[in-house]
This record gives sequence, structure tokens and C-alpha cells, in this order.
Amino acid sequence: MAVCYSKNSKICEEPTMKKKYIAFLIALMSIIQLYGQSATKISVDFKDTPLETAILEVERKSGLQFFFETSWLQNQKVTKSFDQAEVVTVLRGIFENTSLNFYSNDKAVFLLNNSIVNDKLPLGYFEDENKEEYSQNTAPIFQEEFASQTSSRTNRLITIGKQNSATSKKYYEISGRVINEKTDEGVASLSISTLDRTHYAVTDDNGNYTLTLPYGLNKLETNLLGFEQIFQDVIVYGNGRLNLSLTENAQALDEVVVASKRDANVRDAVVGATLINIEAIKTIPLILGERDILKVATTLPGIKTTGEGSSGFNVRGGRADQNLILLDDAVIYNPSHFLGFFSAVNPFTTGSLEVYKASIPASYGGRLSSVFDIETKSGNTEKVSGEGSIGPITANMAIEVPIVKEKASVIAGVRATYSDYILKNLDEEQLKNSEASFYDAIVKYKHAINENNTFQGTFYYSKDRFSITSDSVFSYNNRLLSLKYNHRFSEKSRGELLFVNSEYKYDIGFEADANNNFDFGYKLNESQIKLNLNYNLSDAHKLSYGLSSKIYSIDPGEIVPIGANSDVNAKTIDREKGLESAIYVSDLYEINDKLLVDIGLRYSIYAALGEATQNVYADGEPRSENSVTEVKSYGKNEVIKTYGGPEYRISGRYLLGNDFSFKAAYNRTIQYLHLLSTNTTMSPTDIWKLSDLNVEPQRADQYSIGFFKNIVDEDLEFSLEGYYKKMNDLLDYKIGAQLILNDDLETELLQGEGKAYGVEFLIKKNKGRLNGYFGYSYSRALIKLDSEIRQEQVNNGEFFAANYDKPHDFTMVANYKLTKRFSFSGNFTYQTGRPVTYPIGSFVFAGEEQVLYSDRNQFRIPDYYRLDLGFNIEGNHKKNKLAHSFINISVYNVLGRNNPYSVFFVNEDGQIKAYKTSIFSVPVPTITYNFKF
Amino acid sequence: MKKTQILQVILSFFLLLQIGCTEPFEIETIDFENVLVVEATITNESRHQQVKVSRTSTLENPGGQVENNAEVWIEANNGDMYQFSQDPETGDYISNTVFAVEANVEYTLKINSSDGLNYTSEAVILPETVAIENVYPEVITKDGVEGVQVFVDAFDATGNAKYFRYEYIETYKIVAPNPTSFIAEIINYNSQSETFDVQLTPREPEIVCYSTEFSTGIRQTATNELDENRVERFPVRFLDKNNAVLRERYSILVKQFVQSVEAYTFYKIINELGNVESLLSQGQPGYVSGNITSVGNPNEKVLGFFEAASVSMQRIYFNHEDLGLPVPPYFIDCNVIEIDYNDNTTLDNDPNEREILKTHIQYFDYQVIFAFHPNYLIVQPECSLCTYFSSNVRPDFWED
Repeated sequence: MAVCYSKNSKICEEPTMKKKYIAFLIALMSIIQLYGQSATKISVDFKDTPLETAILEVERKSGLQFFFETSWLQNQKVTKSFDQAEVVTVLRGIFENTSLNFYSNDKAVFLLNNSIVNDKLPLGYFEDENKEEYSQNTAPIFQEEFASQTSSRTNRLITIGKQNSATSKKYYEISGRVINEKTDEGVASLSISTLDRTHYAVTDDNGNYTLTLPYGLNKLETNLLGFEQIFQDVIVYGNGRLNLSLTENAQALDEVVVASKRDANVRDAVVGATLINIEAIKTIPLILGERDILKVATTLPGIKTTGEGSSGFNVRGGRADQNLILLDDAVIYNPSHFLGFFSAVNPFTTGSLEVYKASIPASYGGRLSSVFDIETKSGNTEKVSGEGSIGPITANMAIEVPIVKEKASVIAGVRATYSDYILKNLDEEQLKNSEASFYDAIVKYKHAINENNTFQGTFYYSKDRFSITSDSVFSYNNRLLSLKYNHRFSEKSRGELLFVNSEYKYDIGFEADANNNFDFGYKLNESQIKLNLNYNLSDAHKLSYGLSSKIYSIDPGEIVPIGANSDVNAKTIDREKGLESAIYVSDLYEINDKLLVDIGLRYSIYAALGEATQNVYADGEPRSENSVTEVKSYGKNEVIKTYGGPEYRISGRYLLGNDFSFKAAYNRTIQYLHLLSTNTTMSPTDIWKLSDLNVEPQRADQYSIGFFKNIVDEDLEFSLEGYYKKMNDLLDYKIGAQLILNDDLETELLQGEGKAYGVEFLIKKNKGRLNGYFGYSYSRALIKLDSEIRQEQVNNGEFFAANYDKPHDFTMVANYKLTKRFSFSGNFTYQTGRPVTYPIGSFVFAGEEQVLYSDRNQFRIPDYYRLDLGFNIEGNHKKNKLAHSFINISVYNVLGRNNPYSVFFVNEDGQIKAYKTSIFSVPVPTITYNFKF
Repeated sequence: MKKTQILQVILSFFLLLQIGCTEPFEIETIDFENVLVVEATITNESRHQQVKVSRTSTLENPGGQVENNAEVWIEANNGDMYQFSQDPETGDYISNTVFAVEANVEYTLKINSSDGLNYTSEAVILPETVAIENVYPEVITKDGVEGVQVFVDAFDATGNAKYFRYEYIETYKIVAPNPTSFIAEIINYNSQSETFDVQLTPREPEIVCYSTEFSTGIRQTATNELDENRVERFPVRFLDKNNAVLRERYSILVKQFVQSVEAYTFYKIINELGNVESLLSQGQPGYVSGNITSVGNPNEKVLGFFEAASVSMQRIYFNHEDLGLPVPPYFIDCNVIEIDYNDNTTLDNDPNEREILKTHIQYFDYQVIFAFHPNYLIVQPECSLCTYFSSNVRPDFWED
């Protein structure tokens, strides 16, 4: 507290009266204990006396100590006289026409300014610290619930009028003027309303308004196209003025975004959606110095991986292939480097990641469980800027260059590893001959042609190449192209046209001394054209609709011999083709102030196309070549089989209070492309396969509900969500399936049911010295593979735990700011060990010892837990420095926990040996240097 | 400079973790399940057919356990029935009569286990017969090792047989490099003076022997994805060029079983589940159900397969010099020790040779190949008597 004034400190007499303290004041003056006020009677006489003088007079006469800030009293005069009146009466009298209120105990009187006539608080009223954080998004809270708002700001709680415990009046009038911060002119036609829209007003041409509000806490918001949105909490004790100043949207700064969306989680109609902001994750302890937005996503409830070094995600009990991972709208098939240790997305060019776990918008389709929508930053249109980092494994550089000032810019990022160079210089023989390299590059161009037209294009390429054994080289790459054109038809109507193309391919080269050298290749290519339209029909109805069509072409495998001596026979599996199209419409309908629903319907249709041959199998027999009844041939682009159906995307929100809501959603999704993997985890050699005559599409229905509660003053957000998901035709394999280079792949496949359910709990604290989040989920993921045919049953056709079923999942991420420049951060994760199939006996077959395995996934590997710690040093904040630096020192797996990733059993010379694999079994320290200019 | 070193340390650390992160551990049976295991292949070869019935054992005591006192029989849908009796030596069940599987007859295996449970197989029939076209050795380099690879070619003109499993029986001649004509014995040992006599009794030398070994493990190939049902250059057996079995004459009898797709799949999965997997990925293991079920309890696990397979065999002989390979070393390093009986001290900075003579003959079965007191030549028994580890019975089929 600043300038406080006190002169006298005599002890006064008995306290007599007791007065209840007001809750919100605790936050301001927590130490004060209120007893009541002095019964001392004084006589004073004021005539045009400055308020300050008057108070000092009272202080002197009453013997009480007064605390206040002189600035509150400036230019206020008082004309009143009291004769032997109680101090209380005197003070009430002199403050009658002011905004001041007071509280006192037996020694002191605290003056409180309860009516602030503008939206700026008296300087120093709050701690400086808080003030800073307000505008600076340095907190590590990097996730927020989804919000569609582009720019908004939340102002501090203010109070209007002064509290009068005896009031009987229920409503007060608040008036004021709203000005444009830049021009100081009034802002006309701005609506100011309570969040539930029960009370509202619209500003006149000069920006003046009058609004009637009920007594007590009110939450206000402003709405006007082209201006930022302001959320203003006010406590109304009486009539008063509230002036606001707004900035135009065009100038809204990115940095404001985080603080603004604090209510979005409660107010949106979306369940199970999360936004992760890359800027905010920089203090999280890293593995090998890589800031990894996808890894961070896995710390959230409901998103899991099977373990370190697995590249897939399991969202709400879904398989790893059920996630639509989009980079600027193009599908990225393998978003990881080096078998999943790093994500393939450059952190410096990434703007944000939105994850939809439940309410998937109707515009997205093709995957069952989630959408990961990664958006690349738009380049700086003002000046050249850049960012880079040097870590132990990789170096990364991103640069933003304006092309047409304020209109067009390019952002480009390149990341590469120098592990190969280091490997070659090592003395260790085993490592010297190994190879591991990767790089990725991205370029995005964005051009705002004019107010109504914007164009952007992204190109991305990533490549990995490594050899684990000396005679094989493995490589894979992703290539994406995305072109987007946005057009605004009118204030109410917008549209965007998209063209995207993705290619994913991998290659295995094997060259040993023996005569089985070969080269194996796999390639997937997809192209999509999509039109999205938005139309704001009215305040209540906001429509989105569109259509899309996507063509797939997959070369599922080709093997060629290398060298003249190779005995390998060349073989090519026929190309697969498919066309997936969809039409969708959704309406965001505000039924009343409390109830908001988003009703979406997507109709997708898929056609498997020739040229191909397909086997028809006899019913009721195991699929094998013996049960083939017919082989059908299809000509080029001839339709083999079509699948399709409606996909419902319905969600709703009901406000239970200003900061409390209940949401529910029902989602149906259909997936026509499947990932086949003989491994229990996702690996880069997996095969994506299209639905065809014998492979049905996967379908899922998810029901979810959630409660969302914010405690605004404490900056706390709570959410509690539950879901039940039922899936059909999930793909699984017969034991020992041969997936690569198999013409009759369907004979190895099983399709079964899945069900998943769970409860997810999350608390976030976004601000303050200590901030972070805590998440817990209890969830199950079960699969059932039943069939009339015994050989096609797994676990007797009963439900069993999926490979990624980890019921308890607990994550805590915390950051503690020591000073503005130094901070500590930590992650702690605990998960139930994943299920494994364990040997339960030994037997001899064909003269060799073999093991008998348990029912599938009957046992679990030990629980997983890990603690990571980090220390972050920000460079100094001098304005005119060449580059701003940031150093992150982190230790991964501080406890050195040897978390087994898998256990497996091998027959070595007729003896069964057991092995366990763990990836990082000791603490791994890393230091990374980041710079920005 | 310093910085690079640090980077190197961190990185090599990382890679070591990557590479060295797989470690063996002791398996313990968590939840042992006693499961009946059946391995039964009957063929169109006229013989005493064999059925192996065993049970799983715990992982701590691997190797399974023989199922004793089971009732085993095979029923054919032509009314024939074949009873099996347990061979007390091997524990296998052998048909009481010689019989061969006939085409177009369905066979069913029935087992009543010792604990009174009944098991039955699905009915199986004999697949098409395909003769082996050719078995031949070639010198190749496999995984950096030079050696002899025995290949098989087969061709099925009918186009019906697509799944093949191979077994082999190899027989090789052994010639002991240091034969002896004596049986040596230590007698008259005086522990005071440490003197003794070596009594030599003449004997028939055991120079030439023949060893026969049966293949273990599962070798399979399929032609279902090829244009023709032609097995070409299927590698049945690889022998390192230094393998002692190639020292004299070597013979291999390759047996080719034509399997049904179901039998082929079952064997294939069993084989794959026991094979080496990659470091970072893991195939899906699980219980493999065959074609044998428990009567009345279809959910009881039974491991095993009853198959009727058509068999075709071919035997070849070859010598290392036929393939231009050098003489491989003998099975063990034959170490002929010269003994001077009179050297009975270690004070001369050389071993006590008399002591060696005694202990080696008495405890290590060393053979005396030359004796002229006080001088002796002794050698390991394997080098002297081939019957020590092989058989001097020349097989009936053997061709020199």
C-alpha cells in the first residue's frame, strides 16, 4: 500500500459494535481484523473544509489512527457539523456524498475507496506484480479452453457506489461513457450487457450509456464488431459512473489473448476442447531441449501415449490412428521425429494447438477420437524478426519477414539435428556406425489482400533417417501443402476455400553381406478441397456449413532386390484408392441467456475405387484363401464399395451461474482410413489402409458431459468432465499377423467393438507467482473381439483392456516465478502401467521351448511415474538489445525411475529370455539457449 | 572445445540409453496355468505314428512336463480306429499298429487326459502330396559367416499344395583323430610314494562313428503369394564351414510336410512368438488356439494342433571337399599331452606330470594313445573314442 497517512496512535476505548467484513475485502487487506468502531463521541464543524483536513481533524479528536490514500480525497470538500456524535456518525456524514467507505477496529480506521469512476484503478492499489502480469503473458499456463473470440480483455473487479448495509433498493443506475482509447472519441452502438444478457444498454452517438443493474456482483461484457471485447466485473452498491475505453480490434495485441478468455471455458458450448499456446509452454521442463507442443498435450487429462518413444496419442480411449492431426489444415501423418522422441512440429513457427476430444466441430471428419489442429503463426508484417535455439541435439531457427508492409509476410522455420556429426566423432565403435538424423522445414506466406480477402499458403517437409543396426537404413518423410483463401462477403457472412495435399512415405533399405538385400517403400498421398462458410443469421443463430472432398492414393508396399546377388523377389502390392466426401452444416443457437446449443450434422460418404481385385469370402468361415468364394476385379476408378452415414455433432451449454456451467455433447464420427500395426505401439513402419470390400469403416459415438467453474478472483478454473464412448469395427489383428507385403491383408484382420469411459478433472491457475495446473483422470479403454469362429476370438470374445488402457493418470505442472527473470518449473506424472500379455507357462513344441501367454493384456507393467524439473533464465529486458535470450536448464526424470516401456520374451537357443525396455531410465539433463530478435 | 565435449557427452549418453536400454530380467510365473499341449502330425508314410502330449510347466522350471497315462486314439471316418500307447522312454504316444494316412479320409484325434478330461480335435484330411524335386548344398555367406546352405526345391503341378513345413535328420560320419588300442587303468597306487602303474588292456579301437540328429524348431514356407506353387531354394539347414560335422561325410534327410492352411498358420504363429523382436516395438503375443478343444469346456485353453500331412523325403550326401571347403576342425581341440612318469614334482617349474597322468585318466577319462614307460601320450576321450559321444553302428542307409 502506498502513501498512507497517519498521525496519531493513541489507544482508544472499548469496541462496542461488531460489523461483518465483506468477503472481497479479504483479498485486499487480509491482515486486518475488524472489531468495530469506537464509541468515542466527538464534536467537529466543517465548512468547505478539504476532506483531508476534515479527516485529520477527526483523527486527532477521536484518537483513532486513519489509513487512507490522499489521492482519494483530492478536490473534495465537506460542509457538516456534529456535536458529540459518535465517530461512526461523523464519518458517515462526511463521506455521505463521496465514494468513500470505511472500516475500523478499536485502534484504527481504514478508508476504502469504493467507487471508481473510471476503469483504471488507482495506481498502486494492487501490487505492482499483479499489474504486470495482467498484460504480460509470461505465465506458463499454456492452455485455455477454446474460444472463438479474436480479441478481448478482462478488467479488474471494481465497485460502484458504496456499501450500505441498510439498503433496500434492488437496482441501481450505472452510467458512463465509452471511448476509443486511441482517438478519445465516444464509441457508438456498443452493447454493454451482463453475461446472461438480462440487463443491457447500447451507447449513443457520443458513447454515453445508462444501464440498470441489480445490487451486488455483476459481470458485464461489451460487444461491438471491430472493437475488442471487455469483460468487466462490477460490484454495484449504488448509482455511479463507469467509463470504459476500448481499443479497435485491428490493433489488439496477441499478448492480451490469454487473460481475456478466462470465461470462455464456462461460456462456450464446446466440451472437451483445449487450446495450447506455444508461447506459454516455454518454461516447462524439456526432454533434450525441445519445446514440444504435442508432448505438452499429452499431459492433459484424456490424452495419453503408450510410453516414451511412441509416436501416437490415445485420446479418450481411442486408438492411435483416430486422431486427425492437422498442420495448417493439412493432415500430418507422422508428427514425430526419431520414433516419437521429438515432435515434428517446429515450436517457433507454431502459433497454437487446439485439441478437440469430444465436441468435434462438424467441419472436421475422418477420424474417430480427436482433432489436433496446429496453426502456424502468421509472420510479422511490420519488421523482420526471428527466434532460434541451440540444444544438445538440434538447432532451430525461425524468421519472419514482411513482404508488403502491414499486408503480407513470410514466416519460415528450419530445424535440424547435428546428431550425425556428433556420432561420427565419437570413439564408441557401436555408435560410430549408427546414423540418426532428421530435419523439418516450414514456410508460410500470408497476404491480406484487402479488408475482405486474405490468402495464405503453407509448405512443410520433414525427413528422418536412421539406422539402428548397421545394415539397415530407415527413412520417412512428410510433405504438406496447404492453400487457403478467405473472403468476407459481408459483415455477416464469411467463407474460406482450402486446398491441401499431404504425402507420407517411408523406405527401408537393407544391405548386409547376405543375398537378401532389399529396398522396401510405402507411400500415401491425399488431396483435399474444402469450402467452409459462416453466416450469422441473427444474434441467436450463427450458421457454419460447407463441403469437402478428399482423394486418397496409397501404394501399400513395394519391395525390390538390391544388387545382382539378392534373392529377394520384387513385389508390389496394388495401389489403393478412395474418395471421401462430406457435407456439413451447424448452427450455434442461443436459445436463451442460459442455454446455448451447437447443433451440427455432417454427412460423409466414402467410395473405395479401382483399379483393384477384391476377394469375397464365405460367411461363417475364417477368412483365408480357402474361404475365398470369388475374386472380383474392378476397373480404373470403378466404385468397389461405398460406405457413409450421418455424423451428429451436438453440444450445449447451460449456465448455472455467471461462472458456472453445465455442458453436454453427443458426437458421432466415422473413419475410413485405418492404421495397421503389428506393434502394440505406433511406429513409423505402420501401414495406413483404406476401407474396402472387406474392411468396414470404424464408427464411434461419444456422450460427454462437463461442469465448468471459474473463480475469477483467485484465477482458478475447474472442470470436471465425463464421457462414454462406444466404437464399432475397430481394427485388430490375428496373433502373428503379417501386415507388410500381404495381398490378402483382410485375412489377418479382426474387427471388433470398443468402449471407453472416464472422468477427467482439471484445475488451472493461470496467474500469480505460483501457477500451473493439476489434472487427474480415471478412464478405461476396452476392446472386444468376438466371432463365431474360435480362431478369430480374443480372450473368449469378452471385453479386455486395450494396450493403452491406463486407468489412473495424474499430472501436475507448476511454475514458480522467483523474480521476473528466474523461474522454476516442474512436472510430475503418474500413470497406471499399461497392460501387457505376459507368459504364464512354458512348453516344448517342435523340440523347442516356447512360452504360453496369458489372455491378451491380462497383466500390467509397473506403474509409470516421472518428475522433471527446470530452471529458466530470461535475458534482461533492456529494450534496445540485439536479441532477447532465454535459457532453459532442465532435468528429465529427476528420480531416475526406470519406467519399463515394454516387456518381451525371446526364444534364444531354445531358452526363453525376458527383456524389458525403458527409454530414459536415468535423469537426463539438458540446457537450451533460445534467442529472439 | 570444452563445449563440444559436453555436447558429446550428453549425446552419447542419450544414445547409449537408447541402445542399451533393453535389459534382461528374471521371469517369474505370475499366474501359472496348467494347459494341455498336443503336437501331432500323422502322415501318409506307413509307420508307427507319433503323438506328443504334454503339459505346460512354470517359467522357473521350463521345458514342459510329459502327460502320462493319457488315453490317445485316432478315429477315421472310414471306421478305422488307431490306439496309441505311451513309450515309457520318451513319454511320446506311439500307435500300436503301423498305418499311413489315406487321402479323402477324415481323422480325428481323441485324448482322455490323466485327470479325466476329454479332448477332441477337429477332423483333418490329408493334403495334396508334393515330392521334393531337389535337395542340394551350396557355399554361401550368411550374416557374415561362410558355410554350407542346404536348399530344397519342390514343385506342385496340381497347384493345390501351398504350405510347406520342413524337418531334417542329419547323419554324419566321425573319425576319431587319436584312436587308441588300449584301455588304461591306474593300479597299485601308493599314496606315500605317489607311485602307480598304468595297466593297459588291449581293445578294439573306436575310430569310425555315425551321429544322427533331429532338427528342432519350425521351418516353413508358403507359395500362396507366388504365381506358381514352386518352392525354390528354400534354406533348410545352414552349417558353418568350421562345423565339425562336415569333417568327414555328411548326410541330410530332408522331410517335407505339405500342410493345411490352418496347420501352417498355427505353426507359424508359434514360431513367431518365440522369435527375436525389435528394440522399440513389440508384436502382439497371445494365446494361440489350435484345433483341439476340451469337450464340454470350449473356453479351456488347449495348445496344440493335430494335422495330417503328406510327407516327401530326400536324402543327400556330401563331403567338405566336394564343395571346395577346407577341412573343418574336430569337435573339440584335441590336446595330446606328453607325460614323463618320472616327473613327479613341480619344483622344476613345470607341472607334476605323474600327477597329471593319474588325474586325467582317473577323473577326466583321458585315453592313452601311446605308452612306453615312463613315456605316455594321453588325449581327451572324444578324440580317441568316437563312441564316447557317438555310435559306432553304421546306419543301414549309409553310403560312403
